[in-house]
Amino acid sequence: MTDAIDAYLDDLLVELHGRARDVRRILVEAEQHLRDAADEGVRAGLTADEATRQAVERFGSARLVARRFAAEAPPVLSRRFLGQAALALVLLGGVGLVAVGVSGGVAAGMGSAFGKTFVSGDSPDVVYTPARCAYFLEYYPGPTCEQAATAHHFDEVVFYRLAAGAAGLLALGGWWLARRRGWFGSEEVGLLPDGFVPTIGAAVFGLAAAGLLAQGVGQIVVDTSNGAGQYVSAGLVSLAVAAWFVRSLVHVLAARTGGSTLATS
Amino acid sequence: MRANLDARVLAALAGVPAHGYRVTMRLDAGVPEGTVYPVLHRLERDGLVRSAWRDVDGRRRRLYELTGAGATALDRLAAAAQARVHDTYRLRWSV
Repeated sequence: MTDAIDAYLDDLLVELHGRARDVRRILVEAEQHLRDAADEGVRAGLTADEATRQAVERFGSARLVARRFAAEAPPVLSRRFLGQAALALVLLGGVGLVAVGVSGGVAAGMGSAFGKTFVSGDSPDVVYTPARCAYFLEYYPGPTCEQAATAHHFDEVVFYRLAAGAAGLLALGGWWLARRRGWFGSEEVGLLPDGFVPTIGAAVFGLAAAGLLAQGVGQIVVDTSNGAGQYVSAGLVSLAVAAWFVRSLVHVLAARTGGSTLATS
Repeated sequence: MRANLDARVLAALAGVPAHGYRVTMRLDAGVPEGTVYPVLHRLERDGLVRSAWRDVDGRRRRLYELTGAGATALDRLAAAAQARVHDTYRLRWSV
């Protein structure tokens, strides 16, 4: 069963910022203090519940205590803070590039299923200059200039995106290594706000999904399906990544508000 | 205000090491007890106090004690406080 002291320590943990070992020390000292104070209250004749309540009250609210620790701490823009911000950006950028790579795979699949024109075909009213046409036909021989242009664009859509995905994997590898080795102060607790990465990720990828899907679907409905697949493929992947970030954000918020899915004893 | 609390915390540690709860008991209330710990941690970072985990009455506790620099700082703060008291009385008697 969770008593008032455990509940207080949970609140304090959520409010505290700083290096993991400092936060752990603060929590241990706070618990010892509160249990000493409660024991003394019981010895003075209070009930256990009342002694605990008074001990917690005299200690000060978790937010106040955490604020005092923050006020006494070294400057906020420390190397560790900047390191964590950089790591968060590398994570977001890496996920973004990998998403681009995956959308290249999805575009390739759409090309197989619906034809390359759906992914990379130019609008029917596009006119190719003789020089441009000759260029396409040199690298993509075919019966028409339009088909050669479509094949050229298709390879660009698919392979450039796959290349971006490979760069994303490298970025995520660097991020993983930096965290594992503890570079840039990754042992810090709460230097960035809770849910910072999922919030930014959900917003950025959600907006990207909305824009890309609106462009792709709008093009199909209003004009032509030629080339719509490049937007739809990217939009669908963005939507999936946004949903993944939203799920992470919900978990963070649930943990913060005590809605953990872990069984309580 | 901050110097005053620093002086009180240093005075609470004068001569005898103590854990955080004991320090707050030696202080004459007036501040939420949990706010004494940020002061103790800062004084430790500043080299005026040192601390270590020790077994006390069968419990593992973080014991704080003054360093040499802390004792000097306490003397200086006490002298400054005494000088302020003298000034106050001198002003009062001179009216």
